[in-house]
Amino acid sequence: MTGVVADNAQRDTVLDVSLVRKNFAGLVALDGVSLQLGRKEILGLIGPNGAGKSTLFNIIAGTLKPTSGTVTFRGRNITGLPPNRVCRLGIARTYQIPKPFLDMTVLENVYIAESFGSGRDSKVGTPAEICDLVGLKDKMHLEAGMLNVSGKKRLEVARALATSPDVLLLDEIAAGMSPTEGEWAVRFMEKMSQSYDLSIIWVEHVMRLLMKGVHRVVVLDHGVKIAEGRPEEVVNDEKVQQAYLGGKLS
Amino acid sequence: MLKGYLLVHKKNFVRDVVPWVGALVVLAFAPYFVSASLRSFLLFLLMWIALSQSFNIFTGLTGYVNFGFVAFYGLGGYGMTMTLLSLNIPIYAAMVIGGVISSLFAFAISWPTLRLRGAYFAIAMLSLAQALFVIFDNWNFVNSATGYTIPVKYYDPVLQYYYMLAVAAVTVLCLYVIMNSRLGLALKAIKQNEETAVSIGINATFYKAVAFGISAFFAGLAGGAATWTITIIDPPSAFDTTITLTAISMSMLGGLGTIAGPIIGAVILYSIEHYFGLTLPYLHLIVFGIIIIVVVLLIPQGIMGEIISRMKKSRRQEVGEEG
Repeated sequence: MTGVVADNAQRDTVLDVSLVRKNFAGLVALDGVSLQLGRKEILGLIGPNGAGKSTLFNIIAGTLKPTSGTVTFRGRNITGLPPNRVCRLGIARTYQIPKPFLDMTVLENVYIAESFGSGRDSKVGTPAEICDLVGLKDKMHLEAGMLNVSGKKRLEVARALATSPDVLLLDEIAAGMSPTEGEWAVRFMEKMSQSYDLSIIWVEHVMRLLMKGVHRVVVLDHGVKIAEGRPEEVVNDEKVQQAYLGGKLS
Repeated sequence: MLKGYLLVHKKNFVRDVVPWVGALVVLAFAPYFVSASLRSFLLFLLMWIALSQSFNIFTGLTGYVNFGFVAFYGLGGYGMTMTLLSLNIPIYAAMVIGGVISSLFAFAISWPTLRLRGAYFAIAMLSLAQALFVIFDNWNFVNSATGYTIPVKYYDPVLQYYYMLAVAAVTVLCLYVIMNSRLGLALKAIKQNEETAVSIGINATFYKAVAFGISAFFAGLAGGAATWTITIIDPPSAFDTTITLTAISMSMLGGLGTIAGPIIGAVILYSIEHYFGLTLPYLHLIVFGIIIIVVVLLIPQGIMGEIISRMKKSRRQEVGEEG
């Protein structure tokens, strides 16, 4: 079933990252990485620390400009656009270390994202409905600074959804959540993707979870894409095992 | 535009509107009842309210501390004086032109300076104001060090009072309108976390520049009205860093980012300055210094900021008890 989705996705590309390269003062963080994200696809992006996952996220979201290469969103070249323009076009992101507006309530955080965001009518719901969806209904009127890690991660997701995106970039939202909450996150993203026509790139270190939730995986190592494919194929790939474990699993 | 549930407290007409209208009415009729010296005191108090409030429009709402604030005041003063002397137009038109010049300057420098943050922005703005002083001190076009004198025919202390009252009232009203607008919402987000604000589609560069320009416009208006009252303008008085520091002190003491705060700060500090100015000149600066140290240590959010956060805390306890 996942294979069918993946194959369909190939034909209906929403986001096309092509030969992106990023140098930081002589250090090559990304060395010609390409990937395609299909409509309603959930793509896992994995790799050891320093592989370039966050750099790639920052380039897609507009926080960093690539040294070379292009990012195309719905046929439009968005390379080097500032983050606010990228968000307005319909690409939302979460931060690995949550960055809410600490002194505002959860609801205010979501409300501001909704009232700016992509500028389109909210496709997910009102700010209060979004808080409810991510499980923050009881904490809606608390200041964001008072949430625990799991709550802050949920708020990251709520804020991103409130901008009414077509593409969602998730950066380690399950880290800091309990295993049960992680399972919830996987089911939640599947539902969001199907119900709201959302394509997702998901970076996660909790591999067991990620493998359940995604249709396809791209593996980065030292700024190079070393593998791509369905989760079960990728975990058996020799190069991936080399990158993660330093050798082939016997 | 804001939905009801976002407000910290419920709208209350008696509490929110009546004190402001009352104060305005009292101040509007004051010249008929008070002595000339008290009227003059009130005039300069209104100037400080306008200045600390226009400072608040940018720094209070964005969190960027503008140490070159006096540049806006000085440019407004020069703009007003020079248009008044060269074109035969009414004072209020000359004041608006002064405000517009100040505002255009703010837009022009916003592109390089608003990319800087924290101390770097503060230093850049401080240097810019100092640079303006040196340029004006040596530039024949603005009569270099001599400056200008407003002709005696424009002398009208009561009218000057009303102009200053109008400037202060419009500045406060403008702050209120901004805080309840989309611009205010964007600035609130930018102040708390600019990176997140940008990531949810807020064009931070644009909104910061707009707030900067509005702040400059009102500081320029106040500068124009003040110059008309003082009747002379020269580079040391127009670009006096003490004006920046006083505006910072007043708005910090009262509470940056609140509407009532800078007004309370201006009333307290200008009263102190006025009292010592007659008996022990410049002692007020020592008193200002002590007050600022105490404020920073004990109530860093200022008087109003402290009151608001206590109100929030007690409201949270109520909610906690219910839940």
